[in-house]
Amino acid sequence: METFSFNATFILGFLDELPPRVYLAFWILLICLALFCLLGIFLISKRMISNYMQRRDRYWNAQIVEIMTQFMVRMDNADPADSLRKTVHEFEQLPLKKAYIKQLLYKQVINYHRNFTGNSADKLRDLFRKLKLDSLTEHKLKSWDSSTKIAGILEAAEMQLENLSPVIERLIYSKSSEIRIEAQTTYIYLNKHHSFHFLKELNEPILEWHQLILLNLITHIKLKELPLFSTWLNSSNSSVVELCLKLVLHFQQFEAQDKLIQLLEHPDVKIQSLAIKVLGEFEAVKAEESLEKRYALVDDKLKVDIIHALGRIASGKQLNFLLEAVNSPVFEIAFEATQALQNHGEPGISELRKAYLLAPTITKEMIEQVLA
Amino acid sequence: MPIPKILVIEDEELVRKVVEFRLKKEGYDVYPAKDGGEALELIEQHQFDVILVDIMIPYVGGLEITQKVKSDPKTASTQIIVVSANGLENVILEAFALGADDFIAKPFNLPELMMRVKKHIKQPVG
Repeated sequence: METFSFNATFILGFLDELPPRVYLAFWILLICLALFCLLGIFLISKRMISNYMQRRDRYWNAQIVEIMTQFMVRMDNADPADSLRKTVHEFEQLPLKKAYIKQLLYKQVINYHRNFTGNSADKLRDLFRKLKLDSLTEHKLKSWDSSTKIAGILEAAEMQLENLSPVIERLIYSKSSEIRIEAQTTYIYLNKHHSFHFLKELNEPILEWHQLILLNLITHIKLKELPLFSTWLNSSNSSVVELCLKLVLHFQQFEAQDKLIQLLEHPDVKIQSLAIKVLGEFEAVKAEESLEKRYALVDDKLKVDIIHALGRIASGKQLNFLLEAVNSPVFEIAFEATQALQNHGEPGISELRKAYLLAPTITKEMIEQVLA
Repeated sequence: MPIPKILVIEDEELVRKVVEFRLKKEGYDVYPAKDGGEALELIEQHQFDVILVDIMIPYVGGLEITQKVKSDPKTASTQIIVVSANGLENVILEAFALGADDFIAKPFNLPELMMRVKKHIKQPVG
């Protein structure tokens, strides 16, 4: 005690005698040294914890893979129900109450499910449900963190967890576009029956790329019942109308013609253009008159669309109207009208030949090119 | 008649073990490898009839292994089935350009994989 007191007095006395700058430098050095030591301790302990966790995960992962391999192998030989029961029992022997072990099991089952289709994938899904791992997916879906939510949605889709549809349905209207797209896609995927009712209440826009994903999904999965997409053509959400127009066209829902004609007066030009295109593709004769009426009220781009549609319909009732358009000062309109007349076959070509005789040079050249 | 030798190169342990089990059950002599390095060592030591290789494996990639096997006259006759989760057209084309004999996309159906292996084995299992 005496020695320590003597040493401390000696050191403090020594420090007091130092010039102020050296004194300051000494303390700064001491603080830096202390910080450096703390940093070292922090890094070493972090590394040790990480190593411990890796070792621990490796151990439990090996156990999990072993049981799963046995399950997959048994699947071929034993009664499937018995094999599942045995495997669930084996997994229940693991301390699944520890969250990290359950998490490891959850990740492994999903990861392996991604590798297989057919019977193997079905069995892995059965195992996932029997082990009640879907509760972890549900937990993720209810997370505050959007990336966790998205991961949960994707995992619900991967494991085909239809029971989580009500939770996913709530995410369909999320403010986050990323969550919305994943939720909508997964919801449709999981509920192949009556899964489009959300379109009615959707206020948020369905972005272009999002529409592509939905279109790809809807046109590729086997829906149990195909709805009439014209149901949502009067939605106040333009992007919903746009998507439904594309679906009406893809599934050739001719019943939609009356609603398509109404859409010619839609305030959104993009919707008008799409409606004109669909009417043309449907060769909707009943739409010809409405198309002709709209012609005078729309811009040049839509005029071209209307003429193109009339060329597709080609009923023969619009020959005079198209002949007038051949003489339009706008080249795109005149050219489209010439092609539309040609699409009419002999009656249209005959009209074009007559027009050719009286047409100015540039129009003559255009007609020559189309008829060539 | 010698038993056909198959090399399964797959880093996912469960997939490797399940495929190995199924192939052994069919009567083949199966050698598993968890990465490209291990696979190349086995290729040096054995003459395989079929190599099942995942594109995304550690150390040496599946496409590199395909190229090495097909460019060596000693091993060029080995049938290579490339497995990949990446079903992009350019990856598939690259695999075939390097000499792959077949391509199977992940997720795959185990019975289909077995049938493809069987198709590529020249001699029947004894």
